[in-house]
Amino acid sequence: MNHNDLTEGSVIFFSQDYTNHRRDWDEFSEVYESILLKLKDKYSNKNIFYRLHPYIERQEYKQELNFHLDFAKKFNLETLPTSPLADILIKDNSDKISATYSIDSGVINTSLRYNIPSYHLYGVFVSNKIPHPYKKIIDPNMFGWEYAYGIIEPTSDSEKWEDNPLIKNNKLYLNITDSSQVGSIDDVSHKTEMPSVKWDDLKWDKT
Amino acid sequence: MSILYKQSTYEDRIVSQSLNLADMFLTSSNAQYWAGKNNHHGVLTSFDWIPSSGSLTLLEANMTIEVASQHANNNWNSQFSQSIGLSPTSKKFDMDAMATYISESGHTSIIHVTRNVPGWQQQPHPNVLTKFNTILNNYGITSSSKYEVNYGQMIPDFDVPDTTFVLRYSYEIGSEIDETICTRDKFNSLVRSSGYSSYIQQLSGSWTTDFVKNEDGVPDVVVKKDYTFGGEGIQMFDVDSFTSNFLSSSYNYVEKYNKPDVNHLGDSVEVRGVVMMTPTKNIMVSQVPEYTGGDAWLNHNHLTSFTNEDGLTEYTYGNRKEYNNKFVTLVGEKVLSSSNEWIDIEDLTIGYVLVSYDTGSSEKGTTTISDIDLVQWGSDYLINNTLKFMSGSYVYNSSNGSSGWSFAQIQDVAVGSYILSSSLQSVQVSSSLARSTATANALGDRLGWVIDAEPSDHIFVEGTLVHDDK
Repeated sequence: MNHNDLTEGSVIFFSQDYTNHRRDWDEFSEVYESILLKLKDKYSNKNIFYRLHPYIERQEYKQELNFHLDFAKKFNLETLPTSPLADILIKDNSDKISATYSIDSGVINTSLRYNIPSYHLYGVFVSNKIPHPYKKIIDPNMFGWEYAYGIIEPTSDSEKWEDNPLIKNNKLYLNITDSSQVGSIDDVSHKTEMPSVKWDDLKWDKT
Repeated sequence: MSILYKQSTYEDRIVSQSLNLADMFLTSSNAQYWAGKNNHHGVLTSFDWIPSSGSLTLLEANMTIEVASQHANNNWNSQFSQSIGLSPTSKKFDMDAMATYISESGHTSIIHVTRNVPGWQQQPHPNVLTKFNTILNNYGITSSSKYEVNYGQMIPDFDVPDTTFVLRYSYEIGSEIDETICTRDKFNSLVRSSGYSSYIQQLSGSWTTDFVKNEDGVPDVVVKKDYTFGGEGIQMFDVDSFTSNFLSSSYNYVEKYNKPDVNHLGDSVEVRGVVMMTPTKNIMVSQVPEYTGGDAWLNHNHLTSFTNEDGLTEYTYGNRKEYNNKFVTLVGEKVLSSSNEWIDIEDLTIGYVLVSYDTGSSEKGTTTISDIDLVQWGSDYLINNTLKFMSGSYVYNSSNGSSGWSFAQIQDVAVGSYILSSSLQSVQVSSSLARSTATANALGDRLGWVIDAEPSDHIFVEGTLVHDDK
């Protein structure tokens, strides 16, 4: 399946590169698979695509690639290739994609920019008390980029994910905490307001 | 036989070829690339060139380029600069050229749109911004501010007067320029349609039968996928009839492998042609190789061939150099200098004097860097949630913190044992987390430096006594 062949109404699940590395966490696998099952149930009349993460083409990730291919086969999902990058895939097919599901804040941001209902999957893991799959960190606030790699703690004045202008009050965004919420904002009508910044909005302590 | 890189052989072409490629994106060439942006915007881009026996071919192009602390100074390693014929006054990063354009185009203030992802190196390095602002001030750009872009974050519109220049150092989602440059097929198509096919060594037509091989032990071709992550999308192979048929049917982009010229240490040279692109004019910012000891990832001397599962002779660059028993100081880490200051590893050069430690007399002394080399690291250990040591590195270790001190490899340092701080205090190891390349930071800090110091090998890195070469 090529990304140019997407049809109107397509739903895209963006897989992650570290999924197979976390197969030893039973709880992670269960939640991951439960989301896919729910998607299959909810969108039985639509094309659901399992988009492969670019990293898994790295040589050392051969096993990871095989896992994802087997996984897609198990759920009878068509895969989308690792190229083009997610932001280009979404932009080029914004009129065909009816919803995106991703744990990746970058994918969510791009999807919202093009007014596509965007389901953030951090919440499912957090509500199931499953640590962030990348760094195995448990933090109920960890929904976006501010803890991206789990090494540097955000400071008190760090911008919070939920305050991101693209996210805040955006009816096209849903941080899923329960798989019953799959599909619940698909019919919402909303236009994402792109933020604008003035000079006085900028702060920089150069000392 | 490798050729020693000479700046005079390539400099003019690095400039002209980089600007030719940048000019493809001028609004006068194609309005789509700067659509939605006025003429008060700019972005830093790099066109990376491989010099090889007089030819200069494009390795790749990049957005969000590394602008490290070393670019804030022009301190050249003399052995390096003399051997390649580089003027000691050559600029690593021509901030004056950037400031001149920004000023002459009517701007008195600037917004730096930087990349700041927690856990990754900031781009550009804060020292660079400090230096750049000082230079900008000399050119009448007296106000500066900053907008930091996090991972995956949209860059907003800037509602500012036309006297404010917006300079972007970060990838912008939705930008036609960024998407084109970061998508190899798209970029190469543009290069070819613009008349610059000679810059890329793509094989086409009858290459499977007319191919001229390199000598044994040197790859013949490079396969490049649509995108790269620090060279991850690149594979190298030897060619025979089976291989060539397989590759030409499996991949849409195959290049001839050209052996890069080398520096005085025999390490391959790659030159970044850094350009500040704007809608109306492109400004050359850097056209010199940097002394890093050489980037080994394309260096055939450090490649190993193996037969892959498809039966092809493939070369792995994952191993790069063998540094199993050397200490690797990672990007962003600091080393204790003889002036008792913690210096960014990126700012150290041969001849720099560091604090040493005599384990016999328990006295501090000094030791001098005799060599420094850039490597790529793989797995590491995260100690006490903060200190990162590459697997195989030696640190000074004691089981009880008072006696029995010796240098131990980091994988053998037990939780509950002690390491020695720069103030000669015992620090207990409360946690030690082994991380693979998959679970350590994958991108931002994968580079590191190996230091050789003489006469003592004992130096302090990130507050800890380590052995640089054991």
